[in-house]
Amino acid sequence: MAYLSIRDLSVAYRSRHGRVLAADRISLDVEKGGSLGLVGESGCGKSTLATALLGLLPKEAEVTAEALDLNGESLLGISAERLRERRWNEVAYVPQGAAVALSPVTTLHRQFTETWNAHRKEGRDVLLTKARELFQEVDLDPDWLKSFPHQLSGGMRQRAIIALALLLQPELLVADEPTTGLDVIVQRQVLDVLKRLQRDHDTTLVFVSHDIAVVAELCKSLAVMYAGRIVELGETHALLQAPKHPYTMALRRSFPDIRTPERPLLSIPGRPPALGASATSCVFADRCPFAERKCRETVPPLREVGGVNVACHFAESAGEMAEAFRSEAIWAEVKEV
Amino acid sequence: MSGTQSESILELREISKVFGRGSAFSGLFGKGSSEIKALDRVSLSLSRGKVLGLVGESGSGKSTLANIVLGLETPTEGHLLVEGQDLAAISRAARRNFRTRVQMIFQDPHGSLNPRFTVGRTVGEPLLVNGVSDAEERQKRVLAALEDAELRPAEAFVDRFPHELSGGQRQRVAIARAIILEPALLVADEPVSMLDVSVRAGILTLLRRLVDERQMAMVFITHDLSLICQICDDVAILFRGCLAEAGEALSVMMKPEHPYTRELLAAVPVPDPDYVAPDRMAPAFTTTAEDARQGCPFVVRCPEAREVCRSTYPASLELADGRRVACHNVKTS
Amino acid sequence: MSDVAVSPADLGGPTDVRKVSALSLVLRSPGGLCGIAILSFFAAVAALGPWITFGDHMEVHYLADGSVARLLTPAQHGPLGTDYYGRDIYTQLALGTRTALLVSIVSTMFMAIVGTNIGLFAAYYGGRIESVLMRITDLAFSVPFLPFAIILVVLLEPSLWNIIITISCLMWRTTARVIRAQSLSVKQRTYVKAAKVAGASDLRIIFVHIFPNVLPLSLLYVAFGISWAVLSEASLSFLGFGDPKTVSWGQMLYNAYISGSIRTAWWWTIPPGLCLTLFVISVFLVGRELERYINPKLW
Repeated sequence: MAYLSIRDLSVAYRSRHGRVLAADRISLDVEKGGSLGLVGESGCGKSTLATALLGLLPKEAEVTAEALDLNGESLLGISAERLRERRWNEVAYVPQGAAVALSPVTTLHRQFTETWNAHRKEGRDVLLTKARELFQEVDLDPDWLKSFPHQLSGGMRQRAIIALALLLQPELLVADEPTTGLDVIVQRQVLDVLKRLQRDHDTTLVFVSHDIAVVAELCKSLAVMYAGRIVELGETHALLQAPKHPYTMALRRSFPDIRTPERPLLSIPGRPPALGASATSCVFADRCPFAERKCRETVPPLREVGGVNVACHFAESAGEMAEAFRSEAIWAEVKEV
Repeated sequence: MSGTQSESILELREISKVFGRGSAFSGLFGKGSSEIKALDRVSLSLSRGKVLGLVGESGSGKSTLANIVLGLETPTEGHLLVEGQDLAAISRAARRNFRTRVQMIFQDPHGSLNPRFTVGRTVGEPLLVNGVSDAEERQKRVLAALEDAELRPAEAFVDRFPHELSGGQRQRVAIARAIILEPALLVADEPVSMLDVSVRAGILTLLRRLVDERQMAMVFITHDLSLICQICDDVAILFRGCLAEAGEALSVMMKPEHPYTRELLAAVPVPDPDYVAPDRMAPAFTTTAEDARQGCPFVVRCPEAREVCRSTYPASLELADGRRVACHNVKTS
Repeated sequence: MSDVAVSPADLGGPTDVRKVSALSLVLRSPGGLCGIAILSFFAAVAALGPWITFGDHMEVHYLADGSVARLLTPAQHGPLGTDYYGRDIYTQLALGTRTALLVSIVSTMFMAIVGTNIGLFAAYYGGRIESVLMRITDLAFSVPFLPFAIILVVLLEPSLWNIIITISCLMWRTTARVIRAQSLSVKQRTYVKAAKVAGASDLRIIFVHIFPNVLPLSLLYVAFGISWAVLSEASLSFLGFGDPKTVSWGQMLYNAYISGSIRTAWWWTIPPGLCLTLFVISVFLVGRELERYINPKLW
């Protein structure tokens, strides 16, 4: 059984403008020690999905799922007390924007102590040694523990947060855009730390980002999300080498790769659909140059085609679609909405 | 303006900018000595129809440079020439005209448009404040600019509010506002970094087309090196206010000479799970703040530093391919 | 939409509450509706003034035997009886509404205009201009209201306009501070820099780009200023620094007090007290709804 197992997870928000379905029947598995990258554009539901794993969704969110199991125990319908216990002990969270995630008025050491005290009763004596070890692990001088967050640079703060997240040796680390807004050099330091964690500690990683290059470098498998649904899910290599879904193909060509700096980038006309009710057609149909009637009438299920899971009626003819993508004219038929 | 001079749209000659000096209040708190050198003798030039990529980390001085080029800040030392005219030498009235020659595109398409203004009002504002009082003419030019920014049909956009538009459309509105005065130079500050990947290419293509068609020049500020070759002809790498390397974009990216450029390139994420990033090499020395002040600013992080790097500021060398590198380890031959 | 987080607001499309007009939002809540109704009633009374009252408020009524009609109960005279001097209380009360509205409208307008401008200019220009303007504001903050008002009214002469000037002199200070704080944040928005790059003048940036964003807040302070002004006028009048020639609710209470009948003639003291209370409560109700509109996150 997979370490993290999700079946038909839907998350809806109720707002005064009606119901918004942020995640629509998501199913995926992550093995222990594995790493899954959730990629997609803004509003695709990737952050909602990540937050659902931590039970941190706001009260307005309605979560329904057939299964949401972590380490064989369901996260659904468990008491707030038990959830709090599992959070941080089993699952830790690295948010974006380290500046706001640390309290500005207490020293880092104090914040480590508080986190420890909130979850463990004994062993306060080992805490300091542990915190110093963790700082070394994330390439920070342990002496920084005595300082206040504002004395650290942005990249250092982000690494301090990772160290704090690791304090109770969680098995799963959920990182939501932890490098967004950081400089390349600092981003590299954070990526190196995360890579080392996976290698040395067998930590399972769920990494959310809009930056495919970052996710792909870090994660062994990828889930490409679009309008609240997973459109393609599989091993990173296979998925990027030979994408089966037209959206992945387009996405693959719309971000630059430093190894081929001159390759022209592609822009996808149109914009994602409004997230109202559960999908009744392929969510990408409006922007897809290959869409046919079938795509607008039935929802393509996520099924295995050539080693990856893909939600496209025409995944079998992915080769021909990829060929057609070489021509810019392919987009002429898709109207700008 | 002679014909040859007009080819150069922007020229920076040994521009330096020091903050915290001469301010009326710095003395009050006894911070007289806390001067920050945001730019240190930076020289760059940009000719018509070219795009210059300006790369650096936060704190490298790229925003200060942009503000100086826009005339929002004055350099402490050095000369800024726009279309061959020295800014320091021209009259107040002419300076006002200069403002219209350089326009800017901002990073955040949500914040750069006034939420209470319609698209038409936002795009028409530069005309209004620069003396185009005829509403009909303004409307005509607004429509033309929107059309040029590929917001078609333009009539459908003029009366909309920013919140009714997608991020990419908003950025196009900002572009229309920037080109409506027909400037000679655009300064684009990370114009795609806050947009969804699927619309980035469209914005880049649009900017490149505008520069080519209108024979403008553009300074493209970014920290994403992988975008440089997509749009830039030349690239300039800044480190702590100093120009580390500047030259033709592709050759710099393919064969970086300055160790800092190499560090930047190695840091770019590669979409491949098997990719092993080159180990970051430790600096050659443990250095003091004094070393960085006297010698090369990069000495604090440079794995290839030598003794000379601590004591002497490296002169900018021009290589055979026209690129300039400020590093003691680079030889002309 | 930013890439960073998916919040309900991000997904639900336009969630900007401000698209609803302030008035309709205020009217939608029972409290706001109540407040508006009471205020409209006061406004109507003030507007109709002479047409719904019985003669001059200073006019002394006499009994059939020629003596002054002192302290007649509502049952004996008119709707609300007479005061110690034989004057009609209902007339005084209705005309007092005019004074209350005049004081509050004029002084809050002064407050809004001066305070908002000082705040805007201080925030926009910063540096020395800001220091000077904000030090003046601090100075205004250090002035205690009552002693200052007493001195000023004594030095000038007790007239309604002098009271208005006194109140105005001190009311702008809070507005100036709050508007400055808000303007400082609006000033940081990128579109302000964009306007500057486009060549917009300082005044245009201040009044076209920054001002509309601080206007709602300014209005909120007007709402709260109104009740403060009315209460201040009432306090000054009650202390005997009012304008003897005009009638106001505070003045009525003062007269009841000095005539020694404040405890006995309930029909003389309760109506102005009640009017003051109702007026302040209704302004508060409207202000509270306005605040909910301006700062929805607080609720």
